[in-house]
Amino acid sequence: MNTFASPLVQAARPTSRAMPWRPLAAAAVLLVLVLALLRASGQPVDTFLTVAAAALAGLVVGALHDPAATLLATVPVPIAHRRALRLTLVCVPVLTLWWMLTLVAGPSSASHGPGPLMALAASGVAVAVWMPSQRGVLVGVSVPLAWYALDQLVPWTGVAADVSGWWRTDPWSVTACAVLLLVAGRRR
Amino acid sequence: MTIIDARPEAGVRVAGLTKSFGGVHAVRDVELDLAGGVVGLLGPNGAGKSTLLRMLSTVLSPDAGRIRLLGLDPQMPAERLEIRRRLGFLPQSPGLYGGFTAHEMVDYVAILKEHTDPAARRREVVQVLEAVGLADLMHRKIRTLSGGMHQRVALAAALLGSPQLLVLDEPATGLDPEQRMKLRGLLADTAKSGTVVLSTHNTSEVAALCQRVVVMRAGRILYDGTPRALQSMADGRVWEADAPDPGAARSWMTAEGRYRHVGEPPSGATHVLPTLEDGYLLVSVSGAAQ
Repeated sequence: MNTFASPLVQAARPTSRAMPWRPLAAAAVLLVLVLALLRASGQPVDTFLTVAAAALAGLVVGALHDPAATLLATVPVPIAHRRALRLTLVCVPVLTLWWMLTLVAGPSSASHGPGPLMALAASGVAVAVWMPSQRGVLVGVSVPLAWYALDQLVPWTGVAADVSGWWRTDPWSVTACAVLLLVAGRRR
Repeated sequence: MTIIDARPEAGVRVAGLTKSFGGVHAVRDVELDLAGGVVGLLGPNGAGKSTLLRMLSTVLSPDAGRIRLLGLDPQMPAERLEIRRRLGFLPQSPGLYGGFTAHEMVDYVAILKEHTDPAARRREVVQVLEAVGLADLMHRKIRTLSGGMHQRVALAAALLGSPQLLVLDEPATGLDPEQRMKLRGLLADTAKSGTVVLSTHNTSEVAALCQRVVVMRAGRILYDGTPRALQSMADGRVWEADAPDPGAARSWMTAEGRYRHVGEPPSGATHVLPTLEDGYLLVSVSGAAQ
């Protein structure tokens, strides 16, 4: 009987070393600083937290970028498992950072759960997985930012307004749809 | 209808293999039956070599045709997994993690190749790094290594697990002559117990390494046979003269300042012994004419 840990468990440490942490660290410092400044000057933080959710979602999708993807294209551990490992590794610090931001934002941010962040990130990941080749990650990263921009900057009306704000108004349904897409595209 | 034998010992068997990208036929109706030895794919850029190799390494699925690797069907998930356990693949541009050492990089690939016993894995990683001549540099960061060394790190990763099918896309790129010699020995050893398929632009590599050569152009196979037979196709069809011959299929100036021609020689031409490159040029010219 094989008594050794599974390949994915053994791969966790080197995978975390291979991931691009600097953008996340830079974003963390920047977001905490800006939020602290907003709080100190008594400015509202709601808009800032929404922007932060989109930015962090983009960083989550960016974690799918693997410079060694071509070399690893034929390893027996499926790409879906390797992607899941990367997402798990990046989600832990991102959600911790989100929790810290809501703490710094104070009681007024009580309504800012991780839902919108999860919805935007899951949508970006789903697009990245369904797009062909490595370009998919680039497109996937832009999804959270583009959806945020469409929602906030375009004066939609009617159904379009509902759809553009769906990630805010019903984030867990968006997340569930994106996860379903991910499951359907797990072999891609 | 093409019937494909599913004998477990069969290396590569493909029939009617076709792949297109956006309406461009990269590979068209390719038939191959490879069982052991080193097989070289020769052809110009855009001939379809890399696309064919990516299909032979389970990275790409064909649009049409049948493919069996090591007697298994890569279209079936369970069989594809089994193929991948017995396959080594060196892509054309293997990306590596610059912050890893050569040892860490190959060890990471070994983990993902399901080599879960840490002690045995470490031994094998050292073994393949020694085989590619990187034993002294295995603890250097990849970002400090040269392009040729990067290629050897990726080659070491491909050699993990003594693969029964080794697919190498331009493995000699960036290697100096001494490293090329080592590569030849390494591939000859691997071919004793399996099949090695490699692509190259270099006919001298094929002459030195391969028992069999496949010439491709525009996605089709123009020639499939031994390098010696390819070379002998140019017997009596290579000549040299002091001036270019407009009737030749191909002409070029040699280092001695004379013109070497391949094609249908004029009467009284000074014939010279053909090389493998002459045979390749003749075949690819006739293929282009078709």
